[in-house]
Formats: sequence, structure tokens, C-alpha cells
Amino acid sequence: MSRSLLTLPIGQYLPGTSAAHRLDARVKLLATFAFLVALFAVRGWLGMGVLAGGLVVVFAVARTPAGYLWRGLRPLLVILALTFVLQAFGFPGRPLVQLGPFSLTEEGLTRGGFLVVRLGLLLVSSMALTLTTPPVALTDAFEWLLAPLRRVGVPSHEIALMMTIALRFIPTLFRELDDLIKAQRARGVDFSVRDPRTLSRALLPLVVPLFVMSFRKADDLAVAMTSRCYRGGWGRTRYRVMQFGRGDVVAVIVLGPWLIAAVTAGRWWGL
Amino acid sequence: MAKEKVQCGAGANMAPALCFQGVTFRYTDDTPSAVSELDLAVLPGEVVALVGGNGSGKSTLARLANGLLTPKHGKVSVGGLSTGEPAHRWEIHALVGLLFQDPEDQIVGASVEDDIAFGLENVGVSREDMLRRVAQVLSVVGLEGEEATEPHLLSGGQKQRLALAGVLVLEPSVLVLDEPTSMLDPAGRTEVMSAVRTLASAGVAVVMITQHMEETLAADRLIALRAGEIGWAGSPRDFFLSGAYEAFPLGRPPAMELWHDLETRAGRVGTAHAPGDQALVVSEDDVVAALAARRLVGTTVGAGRGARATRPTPARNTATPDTAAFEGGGPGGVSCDGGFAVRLESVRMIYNRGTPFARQALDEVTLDVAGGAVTAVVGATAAGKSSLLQVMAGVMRPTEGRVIAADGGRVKAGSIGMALQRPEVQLFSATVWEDVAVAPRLRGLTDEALRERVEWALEVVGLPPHEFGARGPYSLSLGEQRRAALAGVLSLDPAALVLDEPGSGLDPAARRRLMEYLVSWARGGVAPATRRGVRTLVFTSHDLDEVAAYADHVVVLHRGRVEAHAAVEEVVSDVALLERAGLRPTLVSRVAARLGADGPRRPATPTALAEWLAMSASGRAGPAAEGEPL
Repeated sequence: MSRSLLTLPIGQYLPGTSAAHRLDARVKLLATFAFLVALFAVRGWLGMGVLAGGLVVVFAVARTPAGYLWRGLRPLLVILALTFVLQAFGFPGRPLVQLGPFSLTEEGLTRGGFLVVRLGLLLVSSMALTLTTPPVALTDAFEWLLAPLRRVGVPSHEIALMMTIALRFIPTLFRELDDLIKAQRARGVDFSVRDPRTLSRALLPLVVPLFVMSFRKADDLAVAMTSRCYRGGWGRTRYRVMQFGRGDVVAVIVLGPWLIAAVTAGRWWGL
Repeated sequence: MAKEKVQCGAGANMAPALCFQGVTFRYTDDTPSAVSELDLAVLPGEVVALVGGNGSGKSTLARLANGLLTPKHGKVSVGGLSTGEPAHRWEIHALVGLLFQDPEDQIVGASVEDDIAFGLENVGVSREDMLRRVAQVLSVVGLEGEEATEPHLLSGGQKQRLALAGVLVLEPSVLVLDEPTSMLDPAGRTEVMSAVRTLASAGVAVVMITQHMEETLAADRLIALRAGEIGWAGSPRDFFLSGAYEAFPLGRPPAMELWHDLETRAGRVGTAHAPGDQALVVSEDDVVAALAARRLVGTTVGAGRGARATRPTPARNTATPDTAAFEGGGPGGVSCDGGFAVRLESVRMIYNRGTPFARQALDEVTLDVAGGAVTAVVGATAAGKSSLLQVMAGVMRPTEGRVIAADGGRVKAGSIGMALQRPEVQLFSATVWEDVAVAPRLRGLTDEALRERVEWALEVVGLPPHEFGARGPYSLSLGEQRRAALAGVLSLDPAALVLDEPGSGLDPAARRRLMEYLVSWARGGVAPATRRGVRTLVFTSHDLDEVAAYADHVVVLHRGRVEAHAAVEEVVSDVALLERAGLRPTLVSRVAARLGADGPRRPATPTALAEWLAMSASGRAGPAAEGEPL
């Protein structure tokens, strides 16, 4: 029986019909790359604000529930907090508070804050992509992007298929892992081991069954694929077609100036 | 029996869709042949049931048919094309559709329509044709409206129909099904079987490997394999009526089993084939016809004494409370002298709360699981059975409500033995002994105490330690692996054991054996008993016949709510309740209904049926019997 999604992978696709959902996956993929480049090129708070504002518009268009975004971000808060603390105390500058050998500096505070916002936007922007794009469309777009590299021997079709299969089996393996953890815990196995030396042994009851299962699944899948005539990318046709529509033209026209504005704004105002 | 001569060419009659001529295959040179000197021809539209024990060559035959394996000697041909010709390879893959046990491992696409289109993309079909053929196949398997659904969100029956669709879209002329229903619940099984029948009537040749003997009765022909050779071939009815099935490690159809049970009660063992008694009973229809005929001539099937000996159930636990105590019915209505093993108070379970994927699995569940008894949890797919079990065992914290152990404290993981579906996947040690020892070792048992505990646990599940202890878990049969995994839970010596679908995926014989070991543990019948006091067993099942045979109490779940919690006789005979909860009544109950036992209650166990028949024959019968008195 289905035990539903016990663990939602971060950035699980949220079906919808918004303009953001209807965009060509290639446009969305490239836009995300462009956004990431801009994110690291941005120099000041104004530029960062322009980028963040743009993302808010994207989520508004996609009608993503805010609670859902927060849920995806929550597990990563520890990393963000840690980054902030390391920066705030580690950066040389005018000391505000002295804690033993460490000092909290003004420069550290601003720099830490800036870095945390940057990392946060990075995570949220990749969620904007996966929340509005079905995995199938994403792998198709990826394959299209890699296609020019085929000439130099990059197996673009195979890489895309591997991605598809990985995406297809992630929920399955998650569920199996979840069941394994529960089952071994019911036998008294403790997974909250602190000592890294015994950690590997503690994980044995999970790793061994998961490996055995994965290999068996891979084997069965290979047989099933062969009997459904799979023989690589040769002579294949496509069920899905990617269409570059009017909405995509609009998206590109809006996106370019927006990113350029963000990056150049930082040049004038500086940190 | 005499070997038929196999004709593969188009002779006077129809040309076979699939043909084996003197086929021999071995995996490596130094192993015995997996299939040897095999002759078989399957005509278009014919359904052939393929049965046989483990290692009899069934799965090898399936792979030979599809060209995944090619024979060492002899010839396999599909529609006249030999699988030995490399040039025909892809054509043959497309002509012979293969469907396996676990649909999970056959689905490639990230959505339903993408998966169905996968085969078409591979053979280079144009996009227009693809759209048409995908839509067509969606309606054949009844998955319209699910085009964009991600496969992991489908039910088991839907997944297997999707896997079938992925094969059908290539328009095969032969369909080879390798135990396609063994992982499905009764509803899913019916869905898949009816899709298969539709295909056969459209002219597809079907070879179906199965462990379920009642499924073979729908086939045109039955072939029983033994050590890679055809041991028997003919009509499925003859296979069982002639007693030929006894020479194979198979069972007989449940209806035949029931008939035998009723005959035993009436003191007529062995007379079924005697001249004068023409009752040849194999299927459900036969039982109904035979009983109806017998009532007409005035002889009855009596409620004989000592009939319990033939039932799979060991003597009922004396701790079972009187049926009269359950008149109140409703949720939480069961109390027991043994107190409760687990108490649930207003338990609610919501997955992915606060997201668009939120799903409520349990709603306001309040119940006491009777200590010292066997309780079955039943319900349709997605009724919340697995969630209930995991909450009971303390491995999942409910969103709201409390779960209380027998000592009054909160239930903690590890205090109650638990196994989820297909527990054999959790085996990870080099030997069976070591795996069973994991839990007691963590509890601090060493040396003699540890050895004693492990060996006791292995004995409980019927795996003698001297024989199985040193073996690697992966060298065991599926049924043995399952029992070894359960021994690994029993070795905690828990007061209570909760098991999610303990029998799923096992063949009927292995399933029965497993249930008998478990119930005998619960009844304290296994010496040396390490734990004094009560033992509680809770299990989920889709099969009400199994529940009727082994449980004392039944919890009926429906959409996360407790629809009923009462003694087993109450529940299995309450047809209205079962219908509401989407459950299939027991075989006895179905037979009784067809014999005219209508009304809200019907006999649901062989004893109750025998009594009802006796009563109705003597003219005192009411509209229905009141269930089995204790």
C-alpha cells in the first residue's frame, strides 16, 4: 500500500498552470544559471535587493505557498546560521564584542549578513526552478543544453536518461530508507551516534540493505528497459516537444535588463 | 504423459504466436539445465497458466520467450521469427511483452504518459502516432486522467497497470506475465487480471506464471514445470481433479480446500471421486453448484465434530472474551482480561502538514489493542493500516493524540517488536544467526543467554538453528528470508509484535506456514517460552480469509477512521460493514451469499457455513446465520 510521501524531497515539483509553469524549461534552466551568475557578480545591498525583489515576483506569478518555501528552506537554516557566525567573528575589522580569542566585528556582521542573503537566494532560486518545472521537462532541457557537446563525445542522451531514472527512483529509495530506519530502530539499533569512528558501523544496517536493494532494482530495470526495446539514443523519437513561445520571449526581454540592473547597481553604490 | 508434437509453422490450423521446439538452456556450463528439451506452442488468444515450484524454470522460460536469453539447443520462435537471429532481436522484444512481479522496477518515466511512451520513443515512432497510441493504451488499462501523475503516487494496482500499459503500447502479440499480481491486494489483482483477459480476447497470446491456483482456473491450459521440463499439461480443472497437482509443490484452489473441509465435516473424506457422487469441485462456482445440488436432493453437509482439526487455526486462545461482550460494537468496544497491550487516544496522523501534499492518514483513532490476543487490522488500500501500525510501535510520532504502553507510559521505539512490509530487505549480516543476534546483543545479552535467545527465535519461525544459522540470508528462499527477518524481531522477546502484511508476496503455502508460526508464538505454544505472561500479535492483511483463520479481534479502518473494532466472527460476517470499508468478503461468505444467505449477516467461516447449511436443510433456517458460536 502507498505510505504516501513520508519525506518530501526539497523542491518537489508543485503542479500548476501559472505563467511560470508554462515557460519553456530551457528558458527557466538558462535563466536560473544567469541568475546565479548575477548573484555572485552583485556587489552591494541595492543589487541584492533588486535580485530578491525579482524572485518575489517570480513566486507571486507561480503562486507558490510561502509556507512551502519555508519548509524547503528550514533544514538548511543551520548551515546559513553557521556561515553567519563564522563570518561575523572571523572577519578582521573594528571589534564590537570580544569573546576570548574571537571578536565580533562590524565588517564581519555586514559581510556575514550579505553572504547569508546570497546563499539563501541561491537556494530559493533553485527552488523556483524545480517547484515550477516537472522533472521530465527539466531533464529534456538539460539534454538539449548538452546536445552541442555530443560532437566531442559527451553522451548527452545517456546523461539525461540517468537523471530521469535517478529522479524517478529518489522517492522510492527515500521510502525504503525510511522503512529501514524504522525497522532497525524497532530492533533497538541506535542511529544517533556521535563518534565518527563508530558511525560507519552504525550505518551498516542501512547501507547494506539499501545497496542490495538498489542493485536488484537496477538489474530488474535494465531487463525491463531492454524488453521495451531501449538501445541507447540511436534512432529515438521524442514524446515531449519543447516549445519556445510568446511567454518565453517576454521572459527573456524582462530577465536581461533586470539582471543587468542588479549587477550594475552594485557598482555605483558599493558596500 | 505422452509428449505432444509441436508444430511451429502455419499448418492446417492457426500458426502459434509463440513456439518452443526442443529448447534447452543453462546459465553456465557447470550448472544443470534451467530448461531442457522443452516443447510448447501458444496460440493467439490462448491463455496458458505456467506453474511450478522455485527453480523449476518458469522465469527462465519467460526470458527465453522474449529473446533476453537465447537457447543453447532448440529454437524459440515468435510469429515465425527465431529469437536466435540477432537481426530480429528488437522486433521480438516488441512482439513479446514481459511483465514482472514488482511494477516499481519496470517504470522508467517520471510521469504516467512519459513512461508509456518510453517504448515508442525507443523504436522511433512518430510523435503523432505516439500521442494516439498512448491515449489508446491509457483507456485499455483504465488510467485515463492520470497522464501527468508521478508513478510513486499511484497505488500498487495502478502501478502494475502502468507497467502493463508500457508493454502494451508496443502492440505485442504475446504477453508473458511473471507473477504479475503477487504484490497486489485483491482489488489490484482483479484490476490486472481483467485487463489481461481483455487482451486475450483481442487475440494476444498470454503466458501467465502464477502461484495462485485460483488464477490458473481462468486459463485455457495449465502447464506445470518440474526441473526445467514439462511435468504436466492439460486443462486446469483436470490438473486438480485428477490429483496431478499433488506431485508438485503447489497448493490447490481455496474453493477446493473449502469443499474438502466441508466434506471432512460430513464424514465423506475421499468420496468426492467415488462413482455416484459427481461433485467435482475446483472453483467457487463448483462449490456453489455442488452445495445447491446437494440441498435439492435433501442430503446436507453436516456440522461434523472434530472438524477443527482440518482448519489451519490452532485452538483459540482461552483469553478471548465472549462474543456477547461485543454487542456494543463500535470503536474501542473491545476490552479484555489481559488488559491492553497498546492504547491509542485520539490519534491523528497527517503527513507533510502545511504543504499541498498534506495527507491525513489517521483521524481520531481511539482504541485498546487487547493484550494476549491476535488482532488483525484490515482496510482498503490507503485506509491507514501501515500508519496505525507504525504509530503503535512507537517508530512514528502521531501529529496529535497519545499512544500508551501496557505499563502506562508512552510507547517508545524498540519496546514493541515491529516489522514493516517485506522485512527481508532489512537483513544485512553475513549469516542468519548473526542477523537474529543483532537486537538481543544491543540489549546486552552475551554468551549463553544470547545463544539461547537466538536459537529460540529461530525455532519459533521454524528455521532450525543447526540447519539455517550458518547460512547467508541471501541463499534462502523468499519465505525463509521473511521468517529469518521476523526472527530478528522476535529475538527481542517482545510482549507485543506488530506486523505489516506479514504474508505479502509469498506463495500461499509459505504464507500459511508463516502465519501458523506467528500465531503459535502468540498463543504461547513455543517452548521454551522465554517470556511469562501474555503475548500480543497485531497484523494487517488484505485477505479476510486469512484474518478469519487467525485473528481474535479485527480493527476495520476506513479512510483513517476506525469503522469497527470487534471479535473476528462479528466483523467477517457483517457484509454491510465490509462493503462500506471496501473489503472483499471471505470465500465462505461469497458462497453463502450465492446460496441465498442474504441479509446483513452471513456465515463467514466453514463451521458457520456447515451449520447454516444443516439448519436450512432441516427447514429451520432463518434468513442468515448469526456467525460462529464459540
